[in-house]
Parts: sequence; C-alpha cells; structure tokens
Amino acid sequence: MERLDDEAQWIVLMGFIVSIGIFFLAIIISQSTIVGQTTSEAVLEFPKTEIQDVRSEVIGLAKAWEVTANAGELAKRAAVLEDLRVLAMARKNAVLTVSVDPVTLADDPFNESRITIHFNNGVTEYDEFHKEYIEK
Amino acid sequence: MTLRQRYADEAVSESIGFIIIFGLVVTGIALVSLYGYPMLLKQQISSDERTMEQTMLILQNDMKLLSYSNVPYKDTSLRVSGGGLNVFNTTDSQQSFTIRYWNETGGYTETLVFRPGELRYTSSAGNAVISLENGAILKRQQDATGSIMIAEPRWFYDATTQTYVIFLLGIQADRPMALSGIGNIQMSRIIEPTVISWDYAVPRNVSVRYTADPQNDYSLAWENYFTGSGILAGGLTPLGTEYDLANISKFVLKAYVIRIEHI
Repeated sequence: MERLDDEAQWIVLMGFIVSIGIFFLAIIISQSTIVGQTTSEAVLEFPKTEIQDVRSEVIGLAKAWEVTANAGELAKRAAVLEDLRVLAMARKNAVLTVSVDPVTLADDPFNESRITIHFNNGVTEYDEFHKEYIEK
Repeated sequence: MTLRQRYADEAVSESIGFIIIFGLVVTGIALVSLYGYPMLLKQQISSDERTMEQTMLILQNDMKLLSYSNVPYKDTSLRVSGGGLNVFNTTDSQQSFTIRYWNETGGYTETLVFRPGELRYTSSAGNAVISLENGAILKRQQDATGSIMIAEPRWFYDATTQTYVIFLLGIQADRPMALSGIGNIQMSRIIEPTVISWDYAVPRNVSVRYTADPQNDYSLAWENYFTGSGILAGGLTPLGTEYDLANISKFVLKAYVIRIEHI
C-alpha cells in the first residue's frame, strides 16, 4: 500500500491565504480612488491665493493711506474698496468686505491702521482683523 | 510475544476517494455558476455606476473650473460603461428653476425662469440614473420615486453681509449627443455669464422653485438641498412649492452657460 502524500497541503493553504489577502487589497484600492478624489477636490477649492492676494492688496493700500484725509480722498478710498468688492464677486465669485481705518497713536513713532477683511466664497469663509503699523 | 499495532486500511480505496473529490469539485463549479456568476454581474453593474458617479464628479469639477475659475476651455477623457451618457440642451430640458426677486430700480418683483439642461447617464444593465444638472450631481432609481444629491452646487448665503448668491449653470449643445464607451468631452465657456445684482435699501426676500421633469423627477433631492444646511444653517423656508429666504440686503445671481462642443 502506498503512503498517503500530504506534502501539498501547505501549498493549498498558502494559496488560500494569498487569495484572501489579494481580495482585501482590492477592497482597499477601490476605496483609495474615492479618498483621492475628495482630497484633491478640497485642495483645489481652497482659495489660498485669493485670500493672500486680497490681504496683500489691502495691507499695501493701508500703508499708503495717511490718517488725515479730505473728503475727496475719503471718497476715493471708498471707491477703491468698493472696486475690490465688485472685482472679488465678478472674478472670484466671492463675497468680500474690507475696511481700512487709520488711527493716530499719540506719543508713538508709528500710526496704526485697522484692517478688517471678510471673505466668503460659499466653501471657505475667512475673517481677519489686522493692525498694520506705519511709520510717521 | 510482541503486540503489533495494526493499521486497518483495507477499506481505503483510491477510486472512492477520487469520486468524492471529483464530486466536491463539480459541486463547487455548480455553486459558482449558479450563485457566484450573477453576484459578479451585479457587482459589475454597481461598480459601473460607482465609476460613473466619480466621472460625474470630475465633470462637475471641470464645470466649476469653467464657471467659477474663468477657464475658457476644458477637454476631459472619460469612460462610460454599462449605459449611455446623453446631453440635453437647455431648451430641451423639462425641468426648470423659477427665481423670484425684487427689482430695486423698477420697484416690483421679477421672475426668472431658468432651464438648466442636463448631462444624463442611464444605466442599461441596472436601473440607476445619474444626472449633472445646474452644477449638482443627482441620482435616482428608475423604478423608485426618491432621489438623492451626490454633490451640491455652490449656492450660499453670507450672514455677515446678508448676501444671497445663486449660481445657475446651463448646458448648451447644438445637437443631440450621446456617449457609450471611451471618449472625450470638450466643454467651453465663451459667453459671459448673465449677472443680476441688487443692493436692497430695505431687506427683501428671494424665493426659488424647482419644477421637475415628470419623466426624471429630482424634486426630492432639490428639496433636501434647499431645506438642508447646504446654503445656510437651517436651510430655506418652504412656502408652498417655493423655498424662501428673507432679510436679504444683497442679492447676486450668476447664470453661466457651458457649451458642450463635442462628446
């Protein structure tokens, strides 16, 4: 009588383990495309450069604007800020409100300019209150 | 006398063993073709639908780039399997959005009726319908009444400035177009968007109504979007068939038209 040959049992068992492993890997891979999609979308939609542009523009304006201004100058400033608002809506589809308020600081080598920025494009809302110090 | 242990293997027969193993193999094959194969097919259909949902997300992103980011032209390759993708021109669409707002200079309530057009995927093996309509991705089953919104459009209300912003996205196609299999879609936005913008001296209200296509009813999905927290926390107030938002100081409406050049 021949002896029963059971050496191949390990090969069959390993085959099982490997196939189950591949099955789970396939599930993980099928999930990863969804995750990649939503993550890249979130990165794409975040308005980083838009906010940075507005911020640098407004701070640049605040640096140039003196504390004392006549009525004509004030009207011009209001028009510039209004233009920023209209541009943000037209080009970036975002609601933007900006205010720049220069204040004289007594006994100080610097003047203060109080800036508020409100930005909202439906996905990201950004609010900032910033004090810019300008040399007298 | 030594005790000899005897291993009784006279009954072990190779032919019986073969019959048992062969029987197991045949039963296995029968089970797989009976239950496994239909399950695989069903899996294939649902994976086709999931792939299409993702393709629609890509198309929605392209449309966002075309509209909100001022990109003039976009070319995307895509694969449509297990069904067909159809393009419906704005004038062909049965569904519409009716928006009522206050005209500040005229001093009366104005009504705007907008037909969005549609990119519609209809599954031929399964029964899912996935649509890209007015910047939103919607899904329904052919044999059921409900519908869901997979991805929302970007309407919003800014509480600080009391600004209500509505984006409308229309799809224009010169001729009926359809795609099944691998192809690419070319989209452009050459026409400037129609902009309606009002600053109200007295806060006003704006109402929106969605009129569904009876053949392709997405009213439940839109209702859930309007009353959910997508636009603002708490949602719009349902008033009959309309969804109302009161106390608006600024109202901005932008209607974009995206042209499907070729598919």
